[in-house]
Amino acid sequence: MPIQSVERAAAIIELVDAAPLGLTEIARAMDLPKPTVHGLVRTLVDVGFVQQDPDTGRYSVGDRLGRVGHGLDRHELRSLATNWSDRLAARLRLEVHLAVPDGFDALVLLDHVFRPDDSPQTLRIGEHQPVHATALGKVLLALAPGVGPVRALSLVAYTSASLVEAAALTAELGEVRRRGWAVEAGEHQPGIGGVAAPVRDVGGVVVAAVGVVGPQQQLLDTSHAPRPAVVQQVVAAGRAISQQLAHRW
Amino acid sequence: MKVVAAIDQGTTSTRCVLFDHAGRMVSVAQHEHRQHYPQPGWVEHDALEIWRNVERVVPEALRSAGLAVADVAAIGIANQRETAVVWDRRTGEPAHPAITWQDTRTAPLVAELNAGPTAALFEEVCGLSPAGYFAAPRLRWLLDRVPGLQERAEAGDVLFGTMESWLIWKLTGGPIGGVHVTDVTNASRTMLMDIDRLAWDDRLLAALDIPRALLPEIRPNVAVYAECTAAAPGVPIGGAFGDQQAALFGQTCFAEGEAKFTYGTGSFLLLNTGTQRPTPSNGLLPTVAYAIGEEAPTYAVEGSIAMTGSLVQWFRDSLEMIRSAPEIETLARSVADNGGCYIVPAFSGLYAPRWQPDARGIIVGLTSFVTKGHLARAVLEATGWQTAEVVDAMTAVAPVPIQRLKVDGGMTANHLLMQFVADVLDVPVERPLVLESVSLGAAYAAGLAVGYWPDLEVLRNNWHRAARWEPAMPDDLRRRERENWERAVERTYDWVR
Repeated sequence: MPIQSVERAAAIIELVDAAPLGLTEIARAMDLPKPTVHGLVRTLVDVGFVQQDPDTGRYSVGDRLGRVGHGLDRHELRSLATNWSDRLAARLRLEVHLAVPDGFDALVLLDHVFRPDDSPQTLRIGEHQPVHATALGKVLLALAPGVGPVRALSLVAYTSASLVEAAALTAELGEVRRRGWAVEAGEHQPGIGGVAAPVRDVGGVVVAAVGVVGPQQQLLDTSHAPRPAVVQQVVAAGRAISQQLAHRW
Repeated sequence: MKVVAAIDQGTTSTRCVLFDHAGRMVSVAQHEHRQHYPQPGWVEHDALEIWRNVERVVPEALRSAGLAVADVAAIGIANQRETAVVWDRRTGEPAHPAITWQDTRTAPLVAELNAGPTAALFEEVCGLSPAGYFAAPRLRWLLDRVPGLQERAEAGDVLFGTMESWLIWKLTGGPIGGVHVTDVTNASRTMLMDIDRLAWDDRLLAALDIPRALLPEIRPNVAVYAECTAAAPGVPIGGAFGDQQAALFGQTCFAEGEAKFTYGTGSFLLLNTGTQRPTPSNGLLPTVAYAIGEEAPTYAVEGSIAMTGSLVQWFRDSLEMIRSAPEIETLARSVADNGGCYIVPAFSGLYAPRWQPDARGIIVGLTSFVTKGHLARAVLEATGWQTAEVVDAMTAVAPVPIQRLKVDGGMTANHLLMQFVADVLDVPVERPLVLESVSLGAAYAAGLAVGYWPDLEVLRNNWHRAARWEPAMPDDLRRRERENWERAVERTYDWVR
């Protein structure tokens, strides 16, 4: 059964695409009361599919509609995130990674900011990681569309701490969804810990993960719980990058 | 928490950035201003609009950090260089819109100057051959074309400045007690300052018939000029810098032989040459790097590339190959190499070190194999090769070989480009953790002036490497590609008749 408000919204977009129109004209063309049309138009403006000229008050097709059908470009994502990734590294004095999914079972590092201690480090941009063994991967596995499901993954043991039982991994992904961040404790490389949070595109879809990695004892306490300050800064960076993405049009 | 505020008055926007003791960005606020194009080749800004943006961004940056004016230890200013404005000292009204550094209206005036008897004097005294790029010809144009302005200038009724002078005057009270100063780096780009004595030169003023009363006092970069009465009342202004010199200072290139490359619309390489005034060569310009208080100044040579970011913008806006500038990396990565295609962006001739005004841009090596991915590669590689040419010219005058290149600016987020630059230079390329080197340089100047930071060594320790690209291109491939690039460049010569 067709949903009437969706049909009407589509009709409004087509009307204002043909010519910029005022509210009265749209209402007349659709043979609907003005308050009904006003509600629909406001919602379309809020999501960016329709925009209103501040001078004439007329409505036309919004910038965002032109972007529908084009996903977020990953290098635009890196560029928009740079300031926030740098800031995260400066505040926590840890190495920062920004990752996007690469297939259903892996991620690729899109950006890497060195740990700011001027020690020799090698740029890891382009490195692939399995999604079940890192904090970045768990964020993507729990939240990003097209990554997983757990039963399709081969749960390789990289270290003795790697999660190789599907049930245990599934339970942890539930935790990630509930609290909005993920942790790793020596599961990919011995002694290396990590904390990561989601990056969302407009509309709330998780498109990337941002996180820090470093010596386990620097990030986590003895029961493998991350330091609250690390979690707070990583989650804030994820939110800030998400906001930056929302402002790109 | 005490912070230092930088006002970065750029070509398209004005920003206020707050920094803490560790040189970390605390917050930022930004407003764009309008670009006015009254005639082809003319580009103007409304100086009052820019001032209003300054009044907005300072409180906005403080608010977003949860800080008050009392938390600001000092304010520093960095600005677009060579943009000229003249205003009434009693009303604060600009006599004409500011004429920006991109504006080419002074070309005939400069041609006349270069044909006249004083051309050599300019080069000898200020280090610059007359060019439309610098501020003084714009001032001359204003005095000629704005009715009555020459008389008002001679009567001492109007003031001239580049953007930092205008903003400092406004910040310190305007008609009521505003101080009228400039800094040595901005003054070094007017064509009127003796680059050895760091003072206005009467012979150069006479050559352009510019009344001295109009000009600001020249001050060091690191010095308290006065206290603000507006935007951040009570806060001392501790320094000012032209943007490229600010970036050199922000990248802590304090030692002779240290250099930075800023990738923006155009790109600028500055190399610290120590306390010796450099001699002009290969189209590189001698300039003042910085002056701290009453200490002897430090000099630099500057090499520039006209089209880098703007070539990507052209690829986006005029060819419509991509929707956003960073997307060029995606497109370029869709192919393995340039497919034999080279783009030479000599859109308005070739600058340093080739100086071919009659050259025009080309795309060469087209075959049916070439796709837009190859074109994207060629666009990025053009920036890499032009970087190599400027670095080579610089190496000829550098006291020590350039061992690594410090880079900053928005294009450093392009990983493919930075790797290519490292590959063609065959030296490592490094970017700092704080990419906002221009703002940071202005903040450092102001913070040093008020003792927020004790010395240059502390600033140097604030510099942290955020990424390093190691050269990885085989020597024979580099040689072959460079030859191809040079053959492409030669094909651009003498196109304009």
